[in-house]
Amino acid sequence: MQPTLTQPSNNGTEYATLTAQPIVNRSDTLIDIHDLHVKFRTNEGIVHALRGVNLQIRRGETFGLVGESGSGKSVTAQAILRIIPTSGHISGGNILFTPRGAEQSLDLAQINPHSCAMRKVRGRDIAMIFQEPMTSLSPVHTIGAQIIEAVRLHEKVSKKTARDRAIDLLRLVGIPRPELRVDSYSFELSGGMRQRAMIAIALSCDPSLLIADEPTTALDVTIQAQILELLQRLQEELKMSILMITHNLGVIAALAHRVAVMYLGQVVEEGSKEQLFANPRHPYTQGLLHSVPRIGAPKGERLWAISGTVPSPYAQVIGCAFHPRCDQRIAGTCDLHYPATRTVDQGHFTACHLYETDTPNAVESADHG
Amino acid sequence: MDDHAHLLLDVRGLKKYFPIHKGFFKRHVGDVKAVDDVSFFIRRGETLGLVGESGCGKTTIGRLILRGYKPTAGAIEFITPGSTVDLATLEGEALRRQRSKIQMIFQDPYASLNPRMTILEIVGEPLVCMSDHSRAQIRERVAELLQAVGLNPNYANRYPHAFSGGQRQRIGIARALALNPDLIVADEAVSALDVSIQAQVVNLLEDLQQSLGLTTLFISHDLGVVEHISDRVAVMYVGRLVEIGATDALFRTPKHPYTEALLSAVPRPDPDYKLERMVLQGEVADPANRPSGCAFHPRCPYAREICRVQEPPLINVAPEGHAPHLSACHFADELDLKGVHITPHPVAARPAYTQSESA
Repeated sequence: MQPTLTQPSNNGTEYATLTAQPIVNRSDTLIDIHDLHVKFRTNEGIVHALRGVNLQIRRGETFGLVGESGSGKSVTAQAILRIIPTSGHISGGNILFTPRGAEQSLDLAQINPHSCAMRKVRGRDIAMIFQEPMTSLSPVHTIGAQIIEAVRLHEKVSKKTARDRAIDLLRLVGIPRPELRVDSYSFELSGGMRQRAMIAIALSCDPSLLIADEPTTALDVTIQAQILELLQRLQEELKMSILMITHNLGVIAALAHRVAVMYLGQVVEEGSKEQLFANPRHPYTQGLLHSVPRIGAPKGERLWAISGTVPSPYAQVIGCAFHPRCDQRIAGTCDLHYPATRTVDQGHFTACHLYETDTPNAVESADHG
Repeated sequence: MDDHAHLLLDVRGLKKYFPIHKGFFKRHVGDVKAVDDVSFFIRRGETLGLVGESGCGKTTIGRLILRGYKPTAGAIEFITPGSTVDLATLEGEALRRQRSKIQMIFQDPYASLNPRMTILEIVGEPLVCMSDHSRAQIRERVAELLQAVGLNPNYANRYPHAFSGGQRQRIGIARALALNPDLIVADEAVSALDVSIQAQVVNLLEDLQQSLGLTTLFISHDLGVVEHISDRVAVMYVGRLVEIGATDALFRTPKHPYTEALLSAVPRPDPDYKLERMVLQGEVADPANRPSGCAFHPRCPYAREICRVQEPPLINVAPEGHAPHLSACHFADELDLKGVHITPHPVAARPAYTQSESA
């Protein structure tokens, strides 16, 4: 449908023939985050924002990352793009990224964030859209200029070609009269149109991964519905992966294929959308799902509130990070030992002591703990 | 009318226009019709939910009731036992005295508490301004209020920075309750909070409503919260009410296409909920330049010729013998609009309920 975007020679199936690879990578894994730690140095002390995150994002899937503020979901995205604020640094772990058409996977955690290699990935292979379209678009450049910049930064094309590409992209994201809109400034567009323009910029180099950090939080419900529909359509058409970061479980239910729930810098549960919504295993996930006021809930149904608050980011956490708020905690276990991640069902993992006896250790996290 | 026996607030024909000035001489070129001919009432002890998208005028209504703005036209009758006053025309000392009876809970708990005042000073300030309590009495009342909202009274001498978002919102609620107000205007009171904290605050508001018999105007864009907390719901679009009715009736059998669209657009935390929703095309209309006829007609999938020409009145469309259900749609009776059905929670019930935090 959009002729300008696809590069037909590159498709994921080539990865079946991977040869010398430092770490074995399943052919359909686009990003493999392994035991990632990020720390921030602040005046009040050290904030351990990510405490060993494990995630795999496959090609062509929408991966939802849910959690409350301070859970580390945005930091995870920043770590992938290596745009963590200067007060923070990656203190351990790997982010293995296998770009489309590449022979080997790249460990983004080891690259210098200012290097050419990283700049090639950023914006081309991995693009990002942000929550607040007004503050993330330049007010002094036209929408077209911002798309053309992104295109010409990564590909050797003429200005004319890049401009045509910009118009095609604006059409692709559903902006009416793109030939005119390409010369508009961001303040001339409404909130929903701005978010569409930002998506167009992100798609300009046909990324294999689109990171969407709360892309609809600032929008009204009817506009949010439009953007969600657009993202779903683009994902299916362009066969890219989307890392969808949100606190809204409804957005996850609408878009994601697989979901990870984060709490205090760790993934506490991961599974397919169906597994996670129908059969949540971690007490935190269960609590989250029950504390959302749903429309259509039977009258008089009281909300199930998770007690307490998210602990201070400076606090030293011993044992399971959730145990002070958990109503199913096991005294003497949860407050002392960090639970290893276990498989509770095929492709469904959780880090909780309650399931310790159920199943043997999961393969991928056996070393964790 | 029996209906009007227990009224607390009766708003009639309320308008607020913000003038647009242009050019060197600041010529008056038009108006942003933020609230345009809105009428509704709130009964004593009930919670009225007010929903709509940004820019529809719901916050302006809240501010008009508190007289943060002076209405362009209309009446806001505030009915307390023994007296009825029109807040719209009140000025000076008379207005100041009425204000103590209406309090507000704000959206952002980080911006609405003065960082240089202790909790005692924040929650006690209404008492200092409006009552002749002694210091000891104020201290005692503040302790009582903090207890009521689930905070430890020993924290009264701390500053807001020592509290989390949810705790700060509780402080804001305690401040609003300090003078035993007749009406509380909660403008997006839980929107800025994380889900687990939001649930605690929603439960707290419900408990307080029951124990204190509060009357609340609950302004929010979150339909889930509004359905949960409201007895009746009013839906606004571009400065006007398009539908108002009992919560159940409005959510199960909406009578305005905009309400139907809003309900279907809410993302549900349920993977089986497929996108059968109608995705509205276009954007919210500009209140400075309302479309002719029904303001919703450019986006309405059911719009016909008459919608473009004639503005539909807000009239009762409930069947005989039912509670009033008002809709401003030419085809409210004909259309069979889709509501939200009551569904049990997709996830199996939790073993126990955990009560709210004690700080």
